[in-house]
Amino acid sequence: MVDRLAGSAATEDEFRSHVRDFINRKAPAGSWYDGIRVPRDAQTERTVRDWYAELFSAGMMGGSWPAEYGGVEGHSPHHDAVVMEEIVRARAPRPIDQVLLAAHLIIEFGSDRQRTRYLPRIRSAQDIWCQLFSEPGVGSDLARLSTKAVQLPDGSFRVDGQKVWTTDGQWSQMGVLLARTDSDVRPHAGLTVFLVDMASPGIDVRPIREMTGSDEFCEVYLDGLIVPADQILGEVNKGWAVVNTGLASERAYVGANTVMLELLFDDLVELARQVEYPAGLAIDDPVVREALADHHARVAGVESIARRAVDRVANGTDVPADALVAKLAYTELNVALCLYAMELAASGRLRPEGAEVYARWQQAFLWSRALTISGGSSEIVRNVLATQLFGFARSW
Amino acid sequence: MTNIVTDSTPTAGEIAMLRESVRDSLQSLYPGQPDEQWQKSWPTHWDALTEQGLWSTIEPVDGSVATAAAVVEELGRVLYPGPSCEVLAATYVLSRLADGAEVPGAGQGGAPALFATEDTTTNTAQIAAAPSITARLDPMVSGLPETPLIVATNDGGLAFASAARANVRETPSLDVSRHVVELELLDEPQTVESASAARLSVEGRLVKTLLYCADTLGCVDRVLERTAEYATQRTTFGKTIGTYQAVAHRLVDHAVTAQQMRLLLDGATAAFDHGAPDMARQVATVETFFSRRSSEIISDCVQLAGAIGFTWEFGHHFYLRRVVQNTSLAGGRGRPAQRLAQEAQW
Repeated sequence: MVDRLAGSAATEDEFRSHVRDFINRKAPAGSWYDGIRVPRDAQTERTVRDWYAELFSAGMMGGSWPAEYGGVEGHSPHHDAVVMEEIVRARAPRPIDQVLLAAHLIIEFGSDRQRTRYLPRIRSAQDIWCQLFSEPGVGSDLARLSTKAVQLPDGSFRVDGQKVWTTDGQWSQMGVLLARTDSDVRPHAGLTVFLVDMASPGIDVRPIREMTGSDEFCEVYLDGLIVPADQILGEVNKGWAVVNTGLASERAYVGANTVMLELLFDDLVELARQVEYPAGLAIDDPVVREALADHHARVAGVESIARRAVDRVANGTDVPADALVAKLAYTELNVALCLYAMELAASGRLRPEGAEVYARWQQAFLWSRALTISGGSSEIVRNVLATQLFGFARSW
Repeated sequence: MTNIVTDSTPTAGEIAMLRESVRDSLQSLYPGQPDEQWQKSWPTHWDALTEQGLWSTIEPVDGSVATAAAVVEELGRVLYPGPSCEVLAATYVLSRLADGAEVPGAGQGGAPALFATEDTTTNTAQIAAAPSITARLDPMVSGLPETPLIVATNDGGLAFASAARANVRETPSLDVSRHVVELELLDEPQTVESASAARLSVEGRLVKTLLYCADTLGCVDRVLERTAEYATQRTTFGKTIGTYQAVAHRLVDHAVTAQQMRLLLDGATAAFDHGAPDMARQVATVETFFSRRSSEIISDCVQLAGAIGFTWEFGHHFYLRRVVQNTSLAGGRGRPAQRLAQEAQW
């Protein structure tokens, strides 16, 4: 996928091989599914934290950080992309997006004290981070959030409000909070980012059970939370610029979606081999074979979109629409693949050998619905793309 | 499978310049819409396009399939009436025949050779039942009456033939921009004795497939462009219709699909030009994707343009007719998928 991203193919191949070897040796055993990430017990949590710490320790993550915080000279977003692709390919636990983003924000906007205090704890996986952004009343129109942070005479801030869809909130030690510090200016101009200790008094985290049966997201009640002034990230009322800072590695991670699609398609073929019809296996049925071909072509189409996005990030020629086009195409195809897999499984008798792949499809089917909603719903993405691709007037 | 690898891979900038140049020319040569004379008008501007080098864009060493695809896409945008894909595929094959075999009659009377494929659905018994016929060819865009043909035969080789010695039947077609015919050869085709015949028989089919996809992409791109433009002009309830999500969201989805079509086609033509080992699979992937989406996009653009989109004058229907025909020439929606399934060996 990213063979062209790094300087030389040999170097790239060597690095990829090194990553694969590392994952083979160090990744925790067992089945890890997207959508069931929050550890169920203390032992699982220890295993996952150890895995994340190993990734940082080996330079697989955080390699592009400043050297004084553990960065590796010569490391680039290309290498991050390779690591993410190989982790996905191995079906190992994926690094947590919001932890990587928190690190990026602290590096970009944090004080020396904040960097020194928090970055090592991220590297050792002592701290998991969550994002306290969305609220019951705002989602994609985030700038209109209503959680308030009022400065007290001693300089600290009192925060009151409610956050929701806080991924990993129940096992996070820290949170990146976006709150309103000025209500008299336009919405984007009155926001400030705070680094919040999730164990502070005044924070109540309540997991939300989702349609997968898991509880990955939480609602978070902030009632009289006191945040010291030195926990502001960046400047007061400049929070919008902070949370909208892109992460080059994160944009390059879109390449990992192509690996995910390859895995899904392989699972689709495997499922077709495990479903029996009266006349034989589904994989030999002409109708199924045509459907597989169509889905294969669709996967190839979305891969080409993702590949272009990654290439443009690498070349510095990416445009704002790239990431949204890639997200929309990937997430919608993910849903379509999952729907077809469910239809395929229901169209015949599942062989006992197919139980494992069917279990993966069941989970993927349910989780796929989160992909088209989180991080900007498909509807919002289409709204934005309509302005970017066609110059249409905003519909909102 | 290895085709002749050239080191003439065009850059994106070169392709963009070529497109611009070709688009300018075609807009002046084909400014209007198809009328009753449209289908037969293509020889009129043949020399002008030849002088511009359009038909040699696929010749080695400077030419490539990627370059030719860009040309064909532009031709599709103006609903070019001539057999562009057949001519370029024939040029691809003839210019690469290792021992310089030349198609009999080529160049005579200004009739360009066309690439044709033997109809795989006609069996030996059917041919035997019609003793005057030696072979049936797949439907193709019509050339001149005396057009020489280079035929990819069902036995995997190449043969020369002539449209002058063939029964020509008009194919029932929605397409009013091109004249589509079926030929029944009356003379035994002359087998091409060349070491490269078998390879070029396969490659000619793949090239023709890619070029038809390029033609389709030109149609899709043009219709999307026109529909989006219309959506910024047409107002209803005081707002342009592009402001309404019901319109905008579908156009976005179509644009995202069209971007995939372009990237897939670019990838496949580049793979072909570089002799990638999986190029047959890539071509099958492209035609599967195109055959299942092109007519849906244009059909929906007719809907999104409202009643004006349904009129003859607005012209979306010309493109819809053409891409439906292109899909038909590929064997319908199912055959490309069957070819892909076969190539993928699931």
